[in-house]
Amino acid sequence: MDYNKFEDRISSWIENDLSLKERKEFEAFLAENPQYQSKVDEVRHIISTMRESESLKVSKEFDENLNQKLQNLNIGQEHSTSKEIFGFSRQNFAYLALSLGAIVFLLFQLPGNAFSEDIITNSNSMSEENSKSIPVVNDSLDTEDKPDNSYDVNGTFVGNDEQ
Amino acid sequence: MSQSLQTLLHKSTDMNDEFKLTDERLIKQFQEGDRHAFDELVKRYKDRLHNFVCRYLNNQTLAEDVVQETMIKLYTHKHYYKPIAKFSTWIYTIAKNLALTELRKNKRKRTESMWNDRGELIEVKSNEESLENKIQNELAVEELNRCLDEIPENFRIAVVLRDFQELSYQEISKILEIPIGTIKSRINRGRIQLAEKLKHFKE
Repeated sequence: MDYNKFEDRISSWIENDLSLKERKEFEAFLAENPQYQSKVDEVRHIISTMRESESLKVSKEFDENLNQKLQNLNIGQEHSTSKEIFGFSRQNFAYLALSLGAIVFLLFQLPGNAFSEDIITNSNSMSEENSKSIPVVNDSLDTEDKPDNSYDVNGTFVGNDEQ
Repeated sequence: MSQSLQTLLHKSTDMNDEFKLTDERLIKQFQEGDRHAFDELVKRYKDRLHNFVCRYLNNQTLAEDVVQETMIKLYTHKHYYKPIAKFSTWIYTIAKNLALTELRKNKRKRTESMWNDRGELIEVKSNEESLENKIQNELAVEELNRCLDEIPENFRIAVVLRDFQELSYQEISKILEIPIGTIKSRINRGRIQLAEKLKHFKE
């Protein structure tokens, strides 16, 4: 056994954590090199000093401070819960509601959109007025290929000179 | 407090801990909503954790903050504990991680050391008396504390857990997430370095 191995095993020897073979090797080395006995004694002394030392305790205010922190934590949690609307904070809920309102408003304002009043009226129940103004498709061969000039692009009757 | 817990805790004081609830039982009760089980766990661990963190950080005030933070984590993350590990291992691991974060944060600005500029011990008090009055071999412990602060951090934490907290190698291995062989080696190296520093200190 060399010195490094001896040093590696000091704590294990003190704590009786070596195998029989290792223990014998360690003790044989120590018997041959008594000058290293002090090394073992120093480590043993360190261990006992640490183990016998008084435990450092928390201050008297520890429990009070901890309870205060926990109370703040609970209040914080309750506070944040009471502010929630459908799982959103009040602020986020307000943003969401405004955004939705703006989207709906825009949808109704867009011309020709699916919600437009005119389209709904025209598609669902064609008014009498419209039914008059919108031409009926003439299936006759005479008019089939002729462009109808009686109506403008908006479907408004603009007259037909030929007629 | 639930009646059964109150009764059992009372019995535990009266009958030499024969009926003392285990930490694992207490954390289970706390997980089920019993706040007094939490109080009991705090009572059991506040000084042990403080002793560990204080030796590790060498800073009384910071150590107390870390222990408080540990207890708050226990309070807010109680459901993270699973009974596959010992409660003590779990709580020591939380404290170790928080202490390590503080140590890294404060590596260069350790202003509130247990030692002042003149090398005198400051503000290390137990509940009633100063540490100095309570320890038998006070000079040796003071020197030891100073030397402990000078050895590498990975040696220090292992030595503190073993020799101040008297934890088993197995538990230290779990807390530090390092193989037992490495733990034994670090503890041995740490003790030898401490012994050498203490020798120089005396000379």
